[in-house]
Amino acid sequence: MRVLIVEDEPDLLGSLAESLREDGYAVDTSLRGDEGIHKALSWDYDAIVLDWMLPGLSGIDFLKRLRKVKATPVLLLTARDTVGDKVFGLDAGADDYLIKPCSLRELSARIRALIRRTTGNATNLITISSIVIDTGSKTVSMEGQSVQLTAREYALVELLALHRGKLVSRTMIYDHIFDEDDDSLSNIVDVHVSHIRKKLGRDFIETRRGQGYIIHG
Amino acid sequence: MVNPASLFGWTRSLRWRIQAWYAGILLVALSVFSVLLYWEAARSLWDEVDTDMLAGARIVEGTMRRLAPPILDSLAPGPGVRRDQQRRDPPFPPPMDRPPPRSNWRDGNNPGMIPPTRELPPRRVLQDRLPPHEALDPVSDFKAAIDWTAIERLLPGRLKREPNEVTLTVWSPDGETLFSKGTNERSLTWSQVDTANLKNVLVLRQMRGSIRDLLIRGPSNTTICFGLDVTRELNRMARFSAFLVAAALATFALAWLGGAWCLKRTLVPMAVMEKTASSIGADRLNERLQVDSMDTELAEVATAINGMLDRLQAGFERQREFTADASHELRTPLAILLSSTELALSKERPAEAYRAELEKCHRAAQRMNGLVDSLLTLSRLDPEKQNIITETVNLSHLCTEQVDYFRELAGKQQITLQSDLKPCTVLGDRGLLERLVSNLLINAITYNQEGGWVILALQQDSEGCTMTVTDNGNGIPAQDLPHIFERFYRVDKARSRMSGGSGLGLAICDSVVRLHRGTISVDSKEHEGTKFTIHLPSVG
Repeated sequence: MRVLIVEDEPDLLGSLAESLREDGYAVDTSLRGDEGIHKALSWDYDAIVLDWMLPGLSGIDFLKRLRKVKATPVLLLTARDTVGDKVFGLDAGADDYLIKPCSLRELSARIRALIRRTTGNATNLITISSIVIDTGSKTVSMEGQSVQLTAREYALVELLALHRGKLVSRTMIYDHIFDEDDDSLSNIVDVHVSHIRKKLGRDFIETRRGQGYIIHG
Repeated sequence: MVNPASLFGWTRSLRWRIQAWYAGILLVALSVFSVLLYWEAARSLWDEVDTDMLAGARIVEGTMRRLAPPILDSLAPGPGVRRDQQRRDPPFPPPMDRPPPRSNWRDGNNPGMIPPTRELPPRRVLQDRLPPHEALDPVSDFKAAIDWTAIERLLPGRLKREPNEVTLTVWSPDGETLFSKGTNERSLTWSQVDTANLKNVLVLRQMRGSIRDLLIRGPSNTTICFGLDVTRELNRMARFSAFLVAAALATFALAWLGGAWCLKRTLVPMAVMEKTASSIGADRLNERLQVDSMDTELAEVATAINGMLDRLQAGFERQREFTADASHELRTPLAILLSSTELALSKERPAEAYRAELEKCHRAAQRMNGLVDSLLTLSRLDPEKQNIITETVNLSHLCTEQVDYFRELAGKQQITLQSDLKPCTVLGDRGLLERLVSNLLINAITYNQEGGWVILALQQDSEGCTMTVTDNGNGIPAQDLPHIFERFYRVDKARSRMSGGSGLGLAICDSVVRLHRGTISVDSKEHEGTKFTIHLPSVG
């Protein structure tokens, strides 16, 4: 899952990004609103964490411009704490609202919930035949037995599972698993898929040659 | 135990006080009115009675004069009338159809004057004309000469009185009773007559209990005394006074009730105002009193209250904004602190990672410290607290120190810091003035570009010190200029965040200058530079 954080405090941005990366997200960052909206319009992020008071472009204007084009879930993270501010922010197009200072765990949980909702899932648990994927604890189990996956492998499984039954292109995988700074080799996805097949069975992921990958739920 | 203050609390009520005053004034006015009315009524009543009595007395006098002129002369002459004078001019007989003129009496008191021609015939002449035996007893002659029964009959009718209410006495000059009618123990006796006073006046009226006496001079110094039983009149006046008291009390009661009603009605808008005003609290400051429907006087009060509320609301609004801004500014470093520590503590990390997070925390804490410091400075810069300005500050020394201090910072950013300082002294607070200069210099250096310059100049003139801080830096956009002295106002949020500004620097400068009764102004053009001009009144 790839997330964009737009926050003008470099120190806060660093902590948020680090925390989300540790949670397995691919994280892009921006210190300015105008730079942020450019990124948001260029990539299909799974979620955006947005500050209200931003240089270049305010969070509200950011949302207005984004909503003309995209329905990317946006969490507004701001120090503005009045009910009026919350209503204004949510009505401007934010999907969630969190007041600074906030707990990193809460932020992470809210981003998970945002992604879950936008992919049409009601719970954290995705069950595909004998394999259960828990997007909350980011664990995968097969026939009741926990399966150890690397962060990238898990991210790939989660992405395919969330879009189960649909073809997921290689570009989409690159867009959602890797952040802008990642300069991994182009065959890295194939390497990850073969590792996953070793752990979860050959038939778990089907390859559509030249198109992408699909999990049949 | 009853609190005495609550017992007499009503005296503090405007309504009761107005009503009490009003009642007092009303009572006095009614009393004065009643007394005047009673007095006028009594006067007119007694005038009427006296007129009747005088008319009666005149009848008696006239009758006496007509019927017994010869005899009259046999009685004692008027006091002081000299025989030789009487003798000089004796037209006889005197005109009988005319009553004797009143001047007679006065003439009698003025021996030097010649009696008028109408004077009664001299005694000698009369005596000559009378038979000697008749002249021996003038009193009996007098009595005999007058038809008293006619007078008796005439008088009560003329006086519109019952006969038993009227008494009539005629005295000779010596006090001998010539005639008396209906006299009793209540009637006036000669000894009670104020003869001395009677000499001087035409008519003497007096009250004795329920008897009213009227005395006039009859012919030949006789005294005619009327006594009238005025019990009826007295009763009338008593009834009238009782009526007056009752009417006054009724009027008073009516006016009191009417006044109370009016007052209550008048004070209704006050009650409405009170209700509205008490419902307005800090959380409902947008409510106002309805002025349109009010009377002029109350509308003025309401307008004043509304004006006060406007100012209060503006003040509260500023305070609310300030608090919101301050909390926002404090929350940001707090968010850094919390997220950094949470991240650092989430799992075991290498030492460098801890160090990086600790550095973030340190920066955040420093920022909070600076912000709290600025907030405290601002809160201490209360314009009411003028007493902090106590010391004489050598402004040129202070500026030199500040320039030396900031030269290093300016050098790091490739900015030339120059100064042109003339000796200058002001009365003020050294710490605050240092802060003023340093804030301006930090701004000028921070919002500048490489190779830029900053000039701090100080000049003394007749009115005080003028300090200018000029730079050729970024300048301030025209739309931001009016707001730069507002708390937490930032021209460019990103730049000031990066440089650690709190948005309070110029607000503090403004407060410091105002506290020193000076002025601060700014002149700026975007991308060309900024010039701050501060004028501080000197010690004198």
